[in-house]
Amino acid sequence: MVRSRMRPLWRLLPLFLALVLVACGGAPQTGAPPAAPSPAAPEPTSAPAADAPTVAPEPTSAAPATEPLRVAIVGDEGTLTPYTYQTGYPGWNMLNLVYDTLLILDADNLPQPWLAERHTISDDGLIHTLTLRDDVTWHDGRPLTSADVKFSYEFYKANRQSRWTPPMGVITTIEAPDATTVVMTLASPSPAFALQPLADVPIIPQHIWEGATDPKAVESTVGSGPYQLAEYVPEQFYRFTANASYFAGAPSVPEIITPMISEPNTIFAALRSGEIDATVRSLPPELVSDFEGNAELALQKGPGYATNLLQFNTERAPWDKAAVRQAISRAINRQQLIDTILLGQGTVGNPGWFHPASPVYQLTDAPAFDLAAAQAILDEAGYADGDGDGVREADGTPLSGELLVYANNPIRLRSAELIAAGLEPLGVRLKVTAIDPDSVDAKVWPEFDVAKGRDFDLAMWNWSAPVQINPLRAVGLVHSDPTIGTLNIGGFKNAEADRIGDAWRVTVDEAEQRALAGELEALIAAELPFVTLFYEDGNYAFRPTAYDGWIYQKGQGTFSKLSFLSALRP
Amino acid sequence: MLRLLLARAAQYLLVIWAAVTLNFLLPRLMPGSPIGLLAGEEVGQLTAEERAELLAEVGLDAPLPVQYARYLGSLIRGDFGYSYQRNQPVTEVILQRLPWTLLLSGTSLVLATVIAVTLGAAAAWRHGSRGDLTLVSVSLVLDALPSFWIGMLLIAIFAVELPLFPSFGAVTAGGRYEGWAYVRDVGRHMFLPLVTLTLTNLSATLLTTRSAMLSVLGAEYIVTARAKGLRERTVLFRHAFRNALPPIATLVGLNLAFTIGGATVVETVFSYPGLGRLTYDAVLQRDYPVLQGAFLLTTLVVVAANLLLDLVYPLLDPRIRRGAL
Amino acid sequence: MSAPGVVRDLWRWWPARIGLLLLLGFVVLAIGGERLAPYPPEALSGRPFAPPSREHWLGTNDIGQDLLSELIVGARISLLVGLLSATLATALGLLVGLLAGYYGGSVDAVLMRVVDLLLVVPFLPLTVVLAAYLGPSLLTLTLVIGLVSWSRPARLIRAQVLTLRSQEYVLAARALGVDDLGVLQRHLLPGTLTLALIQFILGTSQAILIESALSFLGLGDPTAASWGSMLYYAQARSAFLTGAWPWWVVPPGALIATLVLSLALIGVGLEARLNPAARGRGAAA
Repeated sequence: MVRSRMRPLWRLLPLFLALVLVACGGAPQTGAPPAAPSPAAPEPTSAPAADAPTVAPEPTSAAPATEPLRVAIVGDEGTLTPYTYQTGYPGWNMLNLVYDTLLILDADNLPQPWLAERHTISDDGLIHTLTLRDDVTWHDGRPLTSADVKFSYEFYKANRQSRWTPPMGVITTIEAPDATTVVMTLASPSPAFALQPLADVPIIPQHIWEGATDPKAVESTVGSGPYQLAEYVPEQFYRFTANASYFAGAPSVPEIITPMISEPNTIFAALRSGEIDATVRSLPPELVSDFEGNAELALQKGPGYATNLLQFNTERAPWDKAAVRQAISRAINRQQLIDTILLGQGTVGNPGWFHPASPVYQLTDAPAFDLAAAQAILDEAGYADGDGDGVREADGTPLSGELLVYANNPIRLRSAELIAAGLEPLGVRLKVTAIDPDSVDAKVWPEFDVAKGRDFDLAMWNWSAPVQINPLRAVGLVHSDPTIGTLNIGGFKNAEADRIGDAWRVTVDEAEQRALAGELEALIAAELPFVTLFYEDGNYAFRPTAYDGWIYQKGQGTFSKLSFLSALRP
Repeated sequence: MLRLLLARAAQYLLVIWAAVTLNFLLPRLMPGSPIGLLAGEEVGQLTAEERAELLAEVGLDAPLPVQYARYLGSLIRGDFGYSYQRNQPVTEVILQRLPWTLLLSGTSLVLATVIAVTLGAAAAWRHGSRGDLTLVSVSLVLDALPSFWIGMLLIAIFAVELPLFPSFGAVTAGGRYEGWAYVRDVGRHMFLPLVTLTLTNLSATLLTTRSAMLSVLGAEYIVTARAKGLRERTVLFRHAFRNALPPIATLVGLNLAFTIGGATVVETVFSYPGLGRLTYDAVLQRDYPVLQGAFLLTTLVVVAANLLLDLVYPLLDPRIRRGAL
Repeated sequence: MSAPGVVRDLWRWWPARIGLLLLLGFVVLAIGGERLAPYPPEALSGRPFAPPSREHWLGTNDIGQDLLSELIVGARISLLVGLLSATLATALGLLVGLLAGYYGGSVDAVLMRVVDLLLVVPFLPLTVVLAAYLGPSLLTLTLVIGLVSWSRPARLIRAQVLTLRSQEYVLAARALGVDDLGVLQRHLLPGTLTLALIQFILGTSQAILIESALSFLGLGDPTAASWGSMLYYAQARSAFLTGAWPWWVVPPGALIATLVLSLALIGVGLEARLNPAARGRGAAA
């Protein structure tokens, strides 16, 4: 019976190998930085006129480097034009090496003059006048004038597939009466106008972009910034060369190469072995002590603004009851989360949302972790465990549900597990459900449009730094009107929150803005549409021998113009 | 014989069509939408009209059957669409990664096949001996180890502890090597991923070869050959090995088919710019055109490999010509 | 072919004997689970990232859970997922293989083209879709792996049926007027059982590997404490860079390999039993 042996055998492999190879296939997470669908630039709180300090070109004092500086990024950002870059971080940062904005954010995220030497606002807040520098040229030598500024803004308004467009909705007309003056008229006062769009929108050259019918197809990266994009090899790297005739002085590093490494372990292994000199990725907590002890490496530390929170679906029972949300917030030990999961590299979340380092942070009496107090809140509300199954009921609805979390994010996964375990004694039972990011998004924020509703109980969520940098964006988290509350993924409806939000959006006076921010903060801390858990600290490791001039921009990291221009050093 | 092949070809066309349809449907069945990709970071701020515009631009606003019809039409025209994420034609995106996949997976395939077949035949020949059992055990163990595990260990040891090899990429980013220096750079970057990939793919081929050879070796015609007094070497190569070829050929054919799919895990660990990683990213990001393009390519290659095998078998084993495939 | 008979045969061949013993060990681990573990695996019993010590023989993971306990309890999940998916795959494969091999013709053609189709089904999106609709759970994993894996046993069973059906006793049975179902049941099925068993064993080991790959991908269920998810966390929390890998990564990988190996040895033993002539020149049982 030999022949029969052969048949099974040569039939054997077709799928055996298929399986092995398929099984060997697969890849871990794409490792995108914590930018949850939010980003974008902040709206400034106020922008009184500021006289530009004279920014005379200074000769670079740093020793001329012979080797290019290698800074690893995490993914491909396309052709890196304002219409094709991918991520807020580090895509926008790299974009800002090549292009300039009218104002610039300093290390404390306060707007400073840049292309615009002076910025004045009329008393009614409706007319913004900008006086441009006269010594700025594009990389191809032509001068940058007000015509370019007017063109840029109008182009973004007309071609809406960019993230620069929404904040411009408030601009009605733009005039360029002479080569160095731009006058913008707004429909209503915009408190954060200096932050966004003025410090956010890259100015593009009219002589190149004029007449472009498909903005995404434009490949030219001619800008006015300190670096030119010299080379782009898809999936591999970008190469930037210094613009020696930059108006703010030649940048301190002549050449920067940004290799794309998607895998976090590989990035830090490469950093340790010296294959790269720095990276845009913050060091994971478990590597901090190791890297600190390494003589060849140094760390830039600072507060991180990305915010981790527990999001409620406030339209669904029992999470629509404020008492339930408050009790849950009291029962979560945030410090323990930070100590256990972040190894101490984090800041306790402010129940009122704003990061403690934010200029509008005012809450002083945040309630501490207290399980007994949480129990008391629920007892007082009458939400007891009626049927002895360990789970309380609120008006008939058991305090149990699904906690959605991205399966590819270990910090959030661990947080979810610990929170669920910590809430058991309270009589709240959460089932941690980990699925791929897009599927979670589809349930929590279908099509990224809050008007489309939601289908979840609770979710581990994260808003990236820009939402903190511009304090006004907090309104977007709680306003009930979908066109204003674009980040209100919990469906929160509160008339007082709407009132504060509406008022803040048109207030130009700084003191008034701060007061309104304080009111909103107190409301969020009381009503808790979400529970702010913690903010991860930023730890940016680098090799000092390659380059030592990194400047930490609060909440944003070190890869920006600030680190390469001596004019911007504090 | 020809009729059979034609019938087979027709069946394969059916398979391709079914696979194409499945490739069209499956991404769209996944929850989530590519609007995030299309709109970029500020997607939350878009108005309803702006979203509709974006979706309309890429034809996602049409009802499913219409999208399907358009998709088939564009396939026939050879138009594979534009990647949502990269704003490049899908063909370009795939062609950028294809050479690296071919280089890494192709070399690994050749290496693994040669080593595995040699060792497998040797093991079968010395069946029952210590060497045979060791080989089998080592193969089985290798088969059991996750490839990402091996890859990262290699990085930890040979790229971090002893900086002998680079830990990522296909070439030094921004390096401007020419000629021989370029080849050397590529080689250095390729070494660790190649070792990882080859190790993981070795065992199946080795075990199959051994299995096939074993069953053949027990055959009557082998006994006859030996009884005839032929030298062992002749028996081994002319009779045993040749008759064991069909299953080995099947395996190599299938390995070939999956070379195109790329070794996703290894590519990720080493940040090697291949097709496997591209596909995985496209899945997670709902980049439908890239997904469809990559899987179409895989389908075509698998089917082609199968067809090739069907053509080659009768040459290897006349008994199979009788058609009971 | 009786169960005790099979085991006895396997026992006589020492590689298979090792396989059986190892498998027994794993089964004990799987059944014992928490009772054998020094700590409850989900308890934060130590400092995060602690190296091995007297209290924690394998140290702790990223949040301070005892790794040895996780390892012990993980056996159950890996084994369960492996066995269940392999059962599904083998059962489906047996069914399809029998039908395709016996009836031949268009039935065969259709079924085999379905098998071909399965070969090119994109595995990743399928997993994502199923996980999204069914919820990430062991059930989803089992279903996915089972659905992807049944084509191989199907092909093999089919090939064997093709051989068997032209054998004399089958031809005789049909000539005597035994109906199709009878032939399938009484004559063909027994002949394919050994092969099916081999496929089952090998399928289990493959399934365990796929589960760890999926968990590594983040497509599995990270909250289910399997060896695969241990490796996921190890990789995600930089075990290779912090030097924690010798006690965090090596043990789960080693156990996966050992379990797979034990199953493979048993499988090889069964194959040898199926094909005694190939056991070697004059090799005795």
